[in-house]
Amino acid sequence: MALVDLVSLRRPRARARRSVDRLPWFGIVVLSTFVLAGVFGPWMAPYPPNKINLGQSLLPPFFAGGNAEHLLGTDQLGRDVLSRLLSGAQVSLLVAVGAVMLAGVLGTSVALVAGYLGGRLDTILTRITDASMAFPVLLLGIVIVALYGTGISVVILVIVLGAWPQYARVLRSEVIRVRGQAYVTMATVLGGGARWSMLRHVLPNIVPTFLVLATLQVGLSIVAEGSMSFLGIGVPLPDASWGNMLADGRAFMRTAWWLAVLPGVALSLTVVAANVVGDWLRHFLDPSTRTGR
Amino acid sequence: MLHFALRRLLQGVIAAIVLVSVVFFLARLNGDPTALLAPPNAAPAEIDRLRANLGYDRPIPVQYIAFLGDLVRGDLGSSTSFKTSVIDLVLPAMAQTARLALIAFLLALVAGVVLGTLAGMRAQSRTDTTVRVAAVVGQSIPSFWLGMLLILLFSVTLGWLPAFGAIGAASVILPAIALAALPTAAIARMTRSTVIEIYGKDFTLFERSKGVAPSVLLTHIMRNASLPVVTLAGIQLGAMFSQTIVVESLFAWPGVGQLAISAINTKDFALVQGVVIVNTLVFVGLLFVVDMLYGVLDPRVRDHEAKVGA
Amino acid sequence: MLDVQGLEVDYFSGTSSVRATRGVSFNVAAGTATALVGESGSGKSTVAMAIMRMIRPPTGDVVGGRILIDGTDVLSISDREMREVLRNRIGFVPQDPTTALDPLFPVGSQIAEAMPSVARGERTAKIVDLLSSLGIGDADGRMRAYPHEFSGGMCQRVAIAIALAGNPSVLIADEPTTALDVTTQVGILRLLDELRRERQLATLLITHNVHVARLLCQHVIVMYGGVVVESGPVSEIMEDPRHPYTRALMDSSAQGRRPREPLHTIAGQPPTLGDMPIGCPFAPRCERAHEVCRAEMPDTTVQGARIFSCWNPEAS
Repeated sequence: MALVDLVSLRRPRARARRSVDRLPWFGIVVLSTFVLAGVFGPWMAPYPPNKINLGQSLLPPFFAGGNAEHLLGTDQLGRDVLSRLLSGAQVSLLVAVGAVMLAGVLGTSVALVAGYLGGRLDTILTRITDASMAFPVLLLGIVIVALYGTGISVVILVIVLGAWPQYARVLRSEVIRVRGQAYVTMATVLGGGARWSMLRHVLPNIVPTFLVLATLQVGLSIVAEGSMSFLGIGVPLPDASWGNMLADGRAFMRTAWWLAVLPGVALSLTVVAANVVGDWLRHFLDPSTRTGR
Repeated sequence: MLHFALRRLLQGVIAAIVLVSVVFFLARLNGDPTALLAPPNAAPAEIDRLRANLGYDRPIPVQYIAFLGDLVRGDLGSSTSFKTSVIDLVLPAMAQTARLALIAFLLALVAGVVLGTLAGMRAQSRTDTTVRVAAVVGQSIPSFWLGMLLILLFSVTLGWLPAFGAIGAASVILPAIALAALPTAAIARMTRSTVIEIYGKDFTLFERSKGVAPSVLLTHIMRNASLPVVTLAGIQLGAMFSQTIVVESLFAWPGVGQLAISAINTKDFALVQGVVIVNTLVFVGLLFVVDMLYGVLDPRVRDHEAKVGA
Repeated sequence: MLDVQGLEVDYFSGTSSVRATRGVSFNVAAGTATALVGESGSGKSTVAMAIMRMIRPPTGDVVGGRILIDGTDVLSISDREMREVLRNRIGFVPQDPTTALDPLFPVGSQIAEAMPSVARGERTAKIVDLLSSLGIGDADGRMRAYPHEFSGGMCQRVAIAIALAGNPSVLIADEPTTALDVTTQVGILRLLDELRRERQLATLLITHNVHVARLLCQHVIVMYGGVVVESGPVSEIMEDPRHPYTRALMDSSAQGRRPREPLHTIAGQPPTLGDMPIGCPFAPRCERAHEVCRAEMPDTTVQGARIFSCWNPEAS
C-alpha cells in the first residue's frame, strides 16, 4: 500500500487559507427548502394531506407514469403523496426544533451549573449525565409510550431524554475551558463578587459549540422521530409523518415502490443537509485545532 | 491491572442498579400499572384484587426490595400476553438480537477501520473524499429506510436474499448491513481523523526516520488509533442495541425489539419492563468490556489509575 | 558524508505553493560536525526533513537540487531504497525525545525496529550493549519499560540509541537539547561529540543556539529566509562575520556581555514564507542595506574557506 507522507514537525509560517470560501451550498439550500416546507407546507399543499380518495389510489409519480394532478403519486387510500410529504416536513421541523431547544436548554443548564460551580454538584451531575447516556433511548421511548400514549409531545420528550446528555457533556468541558480563561481577568477586574456577571460572559463563549451541536442534533432528531413513527410509537396515523409513511409504504414495496422510497428520500436528504451544514459549522468555528477536514 | 478491573466492575454494577431502579420508578410514576393490565371494563373490585395479586398494593419500598430480590434470582415476573415467565421470553429474543447486533458490529468495525485508515493515510486524495462523502450519507440515512432500499434491491428486484425472518444464514445479511451503515460511517470518520492526527505526531516522524517497513509503521499508527476508535466502537455498539428494534421491526427479526413492540401493543407491562432491564444490563456489561479493552491497549491508563487511585 | 546541492523545497497550501528553501548548498564531511543555524522559519528544519525525504505531497515537495548521502542522490531513488538509506546511513535525533517515542510500545521493541537486519537472537544483546554504552544503566530491565517511565535525558539517550542502531554515517540532530533541562543538556551534547569522533559521523546539528554551535561544531551554516547567507569554519565566522545577519546574530547572543549592558536585538521580524521580499531576504531589517539589496538576490562570494551572500558585507 502506497503511503502518502505528511510532514509533522514545524510547518512553515505560511498561513493556510481557511475554508470560509467554501460554503456548504447543497446543505443550505436543502435545509432552507425543508424549513420552508415545514412552515408553509400545509398552505402550499395541492391537496389536504389526510383526504381519502379511493378512486385515485396507488397512482405513481409523474416521472414514473403518473399525471400532473398528483405529482408524486398517491397512496393506498388515494391520499396525495406530495401533500403528505409537506405535512410530514412540518412534523419533522416541529420535532427537531422542539427537541433541540428543550434538550439544549436542559443540557446547557446542567453544563453551566456543573462546569461553573464545580465541586460535589459537578460530580453528581456528571454521574447522572454519564448514566443517562447509557439509556437505550428507543427502548425507553417504548416504555414511555406504553405509559403515556403516542403523539408529538411524547416523541419530543423521548428525544430530549436521549439528547440532553450530549449537550451537557460537551458544553461542560467548554464551560470549564472558558471559565479558566476568563477567571483571572474577571476576578481581578471585578473583585471576586462577579460570579453572576461571569455567567454572562461564559454563556456567549459556548454559543459556537452549542450551535454546532444543535445542528447535528437536528439530523438525529429527525431520524429519531422517523424511527418512532415507523415503529408506531410516534406520530399516529392518519396524520402524516415521514416515518409512518414509510411504515405504510412497506406493504407496497412490490406494487407501489414510490410509497416506500419518496418519504425516505425526503428524510435522508434533510438529514444529510443538516449534517453537512453542522460539519461545516464545526470546521468554520474551530479551524486551528481541527485535524484533517 | 486487577485493581483497574475491579474498580470498573464496581462502577458497572452500581450503574446497572441505578438504571434498573430508574425503570422501576418510572413505571410507578403514574400510579401503579394495574389499570393498564386489567381488562377495560373491569369493576374496581376486580382491579383491586388484581393489584393485590400482582403485589402492586404493597408500599413502594417493599416493592422495590422485592423487585431487586427477584432480579437477582432472575425472576422478571410473568408475561400477561404470553402466559409464560418473562425471562423465558426475553432470553431467547435477546440471543437473536445479540446475534444480529454483534454481526453488524463486527462488520461495522472492520469496514469502518479499513475505510477510515485508507482515507486517513491518503488524506485529501480522491479515495479520501469518496470515503468522507459516503460517511456523511451513511450517518444520515435512517437504518429502516436503508433496510427498505436493500429489500427493494436484493429481495424484490433481484431475489437474491430473504427479506424477513431469521431462518437460514443468509437472512442475517440484509438486516446486518442496514444496521451497520451508521456505525461504519461513524467509525470510519473517527478512524480517519485519528489516523491523520497520529500521522502528524512526533513519534510517527521518528518511526519513519528509522526507515521501517510500511507494515511496522502501520502497526504503530493502528495501535495508537485503536484507543479512541475502541471507545467510539463501544458507544456505537450500545447505540446499536437501540437501533436493532427498528431493523428487527422491518425485517421481522425475532429479537427483543419485536418483543417489546408486541408487549406495548398488548399492554404487557412486565414484559416491557423485562426487556428494558435485560437490555440495559447487557449494555452496561458491554461498556465494562470496552473499558477493559482500553486498559489493555493503553498502559498509561492502568498505571495512572493505580498511582492516582482515580 | 552528506552533500546538499542547490536544494529548493516548496510547501503547498491550498492551490498555491511557497518556496521554503532556495539554492541551499553545503557539505558535511565524515567525522565533522556542521551547525545549521537560524531563527524559526529560516528553513533549517525544512532542510533536515528534505534530506530524509519526509517532505511529500500534499504537504510539499523538493522541486530542485540534489542531496547526496555517501555519493547516492537520495532524491532520485525509490521509496524502498530510501527506507534502506534511512535504516543504515542516516540517524536522526529528534528535538523532543519524550514525544518521539511511541507511548504504547516498550522502548526495547522500538530500538529493535531500527535494526531489522540483526538476527532475532542477537538483538537483545546488541540493544543492551547500545544502551549501556550510552549511559543507561540496567539496560536489560529498562528495555522492557515504556517511554513514560523515562526521564527526558534518558529518552534522548534512547533516541540516540535508535539513531545509531543501523550504524549510520550521517547523523542529523534537530535541536537535540532544546527540550531538556540545562544540566541534562551538557551530558547529551558531550555524548554527541564523543559519538561523532568514535564513529566518524558526518553530523548536521540544527540549532538556534550559537553557543552550542561553537562548542560542538567545526563548521557553521547560517540560514535566513530560506537562503544560506554565510557558511564556513565556525571560529572564523563567529569571530569575524561578513554577513550583517551573522554579525547581528553574534551580537545578540549574550556571551561576553558585561552586566547591565542592554541586550542587542535585531529589529523587525523574519519574513513569512508567503511574503518573501524580492532580493535579499534580510534587506528589510539590515542596517547596511542598499537599493541593490532590495532589488536583487546577492551573488555568492567565496573567500578562502568561507562563503557568504551579500552585496554590502561587513569589513574584516
